[in-house]
Amino acid sequence: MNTQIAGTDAPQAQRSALAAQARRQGIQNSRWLLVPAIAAVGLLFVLPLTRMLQLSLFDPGFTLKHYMEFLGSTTYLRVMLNTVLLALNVTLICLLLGYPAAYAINSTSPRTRRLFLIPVMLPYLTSLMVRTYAWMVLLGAHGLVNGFFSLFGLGPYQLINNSLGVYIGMVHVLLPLMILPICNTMQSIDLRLVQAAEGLGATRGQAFVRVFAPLSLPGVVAGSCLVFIIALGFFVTPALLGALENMTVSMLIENQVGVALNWAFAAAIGMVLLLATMATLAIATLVLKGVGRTMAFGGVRLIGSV
Amino acid sequence: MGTGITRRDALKTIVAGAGALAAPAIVRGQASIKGTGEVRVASLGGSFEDAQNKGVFEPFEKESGIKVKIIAYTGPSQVVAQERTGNIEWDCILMSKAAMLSLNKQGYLEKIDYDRIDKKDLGGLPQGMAHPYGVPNILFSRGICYNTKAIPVADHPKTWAEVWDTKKFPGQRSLGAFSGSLTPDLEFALLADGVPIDKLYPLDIDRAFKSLDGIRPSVAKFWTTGAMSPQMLTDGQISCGSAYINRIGDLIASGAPVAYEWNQGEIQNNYWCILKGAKNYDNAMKLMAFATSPVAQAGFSTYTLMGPANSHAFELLSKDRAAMLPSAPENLKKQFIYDDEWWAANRDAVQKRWDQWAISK
Amino acid sequence: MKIPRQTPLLVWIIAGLVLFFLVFPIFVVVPISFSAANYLQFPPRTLSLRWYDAYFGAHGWIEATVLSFEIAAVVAVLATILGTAAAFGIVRSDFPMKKAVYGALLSPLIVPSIITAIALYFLFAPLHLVGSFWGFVLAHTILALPLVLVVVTASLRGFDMTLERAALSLGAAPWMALRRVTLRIIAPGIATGALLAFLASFDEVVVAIFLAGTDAVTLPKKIWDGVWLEITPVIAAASTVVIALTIALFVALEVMRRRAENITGIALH
Repeated sequence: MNTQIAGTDAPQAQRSALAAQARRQGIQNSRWLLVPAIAAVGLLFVLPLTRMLQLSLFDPGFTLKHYMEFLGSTTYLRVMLNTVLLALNVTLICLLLGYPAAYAINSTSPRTRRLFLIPVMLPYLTSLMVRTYAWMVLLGAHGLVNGFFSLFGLGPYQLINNSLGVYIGMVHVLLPLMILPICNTMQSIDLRLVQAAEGLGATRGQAFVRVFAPLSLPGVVAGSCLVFIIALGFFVTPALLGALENMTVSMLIENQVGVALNWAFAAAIGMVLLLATMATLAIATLVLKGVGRTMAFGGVRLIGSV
Repeated sequence: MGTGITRRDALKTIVAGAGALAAPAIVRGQASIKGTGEVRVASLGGSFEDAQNKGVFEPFEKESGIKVKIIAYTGPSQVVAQERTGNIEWDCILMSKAAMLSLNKQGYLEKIDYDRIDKKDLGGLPQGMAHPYGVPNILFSRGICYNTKAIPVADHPKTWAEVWDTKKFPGQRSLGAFSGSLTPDLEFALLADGVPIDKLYPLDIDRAFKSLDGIRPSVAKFWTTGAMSPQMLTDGQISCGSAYINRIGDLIASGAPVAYEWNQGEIQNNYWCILKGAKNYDNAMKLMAFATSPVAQAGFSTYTLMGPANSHAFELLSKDRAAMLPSAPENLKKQFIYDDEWWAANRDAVQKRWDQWAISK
Repeated sequence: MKIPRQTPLLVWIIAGLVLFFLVFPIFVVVPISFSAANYLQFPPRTLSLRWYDAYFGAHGWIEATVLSFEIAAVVAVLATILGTAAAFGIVRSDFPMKKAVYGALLSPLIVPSIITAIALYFLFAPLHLVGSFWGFVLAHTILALPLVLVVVTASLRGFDMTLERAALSLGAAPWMALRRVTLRIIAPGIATGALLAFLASFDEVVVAIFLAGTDAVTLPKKIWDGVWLEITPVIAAASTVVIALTIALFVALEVMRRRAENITGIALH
């Protein structure tokens, strides 16, 4: 990149050498900018997690009894199963609702797109407690939803303190996390490909299924992965909107730490949850890699192209 | 029979009670409770805390000059957590006897210096109730409560068997769950199943859970804090269930369509305790001495339907107000006393059983 | 070039319903906060400001709000500094483990917050950091850092390096080029990151439940306690305050972004 600047005396070769040197130095020095962040994450994240692992395995000597207690109890395994099923269902619902929403948002012009993203960003930015409390108000026997039904002589229905309430609350919180990655991916899809397919004789439906949808897959995987993982660890919403039988693993953990004071046991359950999370992430990354390899364009990897 | 208390009645007795207190009452040993600094008290929030404020803490602050600082209390596990980490943030709490026994077993409470409490007040406490690590202070009831819009006062459930009868009294219920120091309504389940009220303890756990199975489909939510069932009753989510009668009393006074029934109610005692290593032991003892005095006891019982432990407090309460309290003779004889010792011994086993039962539907 | 596309009506209907579903519940709490009744009643029969009175009066609501604000402000600063530096480190450097490091820095975002919460609780308890201002700041910074990192990295990657090089070749010192060219241009990205960090801390509830203490109760934790101990509309009043704050910050961000676009003439993400 040679920029001829009028009025300078230094010869061009020297100038570009300086620029190249600055660039190299910049690259050399830049990596040290990561040190503070790495130190912070190391001390305040990796260290506590390691200590948690230690807590779960040493009580005081090495023991697997807490893991055995959790994995060996039908009650607790049921809680784990319920949690996984809940997360899967929520992810599916978010996908079914979020994909059309992302598609519609994406099909507008960039200007209106920002407008349409407000109803997505605003809930996302609003406090989780406020959102969950709003649902507690809306779904009650005399809440707004039942009030609406009563206008038609229907209801009142049991919408809260059961699985339905938990699903509604969780889907509401997690939808933005599904919509945003999908929308992001869709934005970078080259529409000329779709147009080309249609030009070659494909119907709109075919063009969508065979060209557009596969190109949007990385966003779908990223969104689903994110939603699933966060749903797995959900705590506030099931606690406030659910019944006894809707207990999730994270509620169990909170109970063990805050009420029963079984730190070691809680740590063991936490490690199991963490492993489930990492497994999900690993699977998603593999899927994405496979998807990325077979796609020439439009791929956005989960961690981003670094 | 004094079962459905109308709003006017409640207001009348509160005014009468306040009138009784307006007469100058000398706090015994007043000079000895003066001090400086603060005392940190954990309280349960809501109308309970309001009553504590008006009846006990504010008068105490005036008399002693010690500031009372209130923090939210959700269970004895918070105490354990503080003791374990050496981070003692509270000085004293009013807690259930079961919680006190359990915490004391682990050595987390300070010994009470009974010399600092007025001898006459101690004499007013029921025989054998005073404990080396806790001063008995109030008693309150958990019992049948219902929504007056869904169930008329004239024909309301008077026994737990009737609460279990969803045909006669349609609508949803709410019963207590395990949470912190709160124990589930196994006693009520047994009463509903026909166990005589004087033969409740030791509890037949299997029978209790079987009885709960019967009512579970109609239970909207098992409440985990004292505020929940009154809330559900007030907004009509449930037609009847178990709740703390003092909270229902407070709601009635503010016009909510709710009412309660003393029959087959459960009486519990709460004790003032001081945490081991509490910073303000002296101030805490002063607060407890004051809280045991008739003025504070009567004051507290004026603002909420909880009975004083100190019988001398009845001298300061109007007859009408006294008749509304759980410890009034006519009310007392219909209820049973919660067995803290049994629960302290069997809690863990029941908890495991409860977890199993809760998750399976 | 925009290629006209025809989105089927059904898709628009679903999208419309979804967007309505997302936004509507948030505004439900606002009328409740003006209710005169002392229990949840929707729609409210009579109106009153008593709950705002209660909110601004006793019981620690204002203290909780101020504390949340203070913590969030410090967290925003710390997370932005650490995150922006890290973003430069990621985008401008190259070393074998870079992707792994990037992933590691993002991990607090992905690990379920309950795990982070108890892990930090176990670590902080013996250090007496539970119930302390700095305990909260440290915990929230670690949760906010990945947000800043992602946003600033995206911004930086979209930044045209030739501008910086032009400044360098004009004789500017590297630091000056950075300050006057690069940072100015990616400022909206940094601001977005800071905003997300602020809100992440202000709204954070799960960690707050574990790290709260007598004197250190954040607003979300107070709402959480309120829901269990005392379900009066004062919570609705507190929630309305939070919503108003969120909207205000959101609008501020939009205004900032639009101004930056006008100045630089570059359309920014």
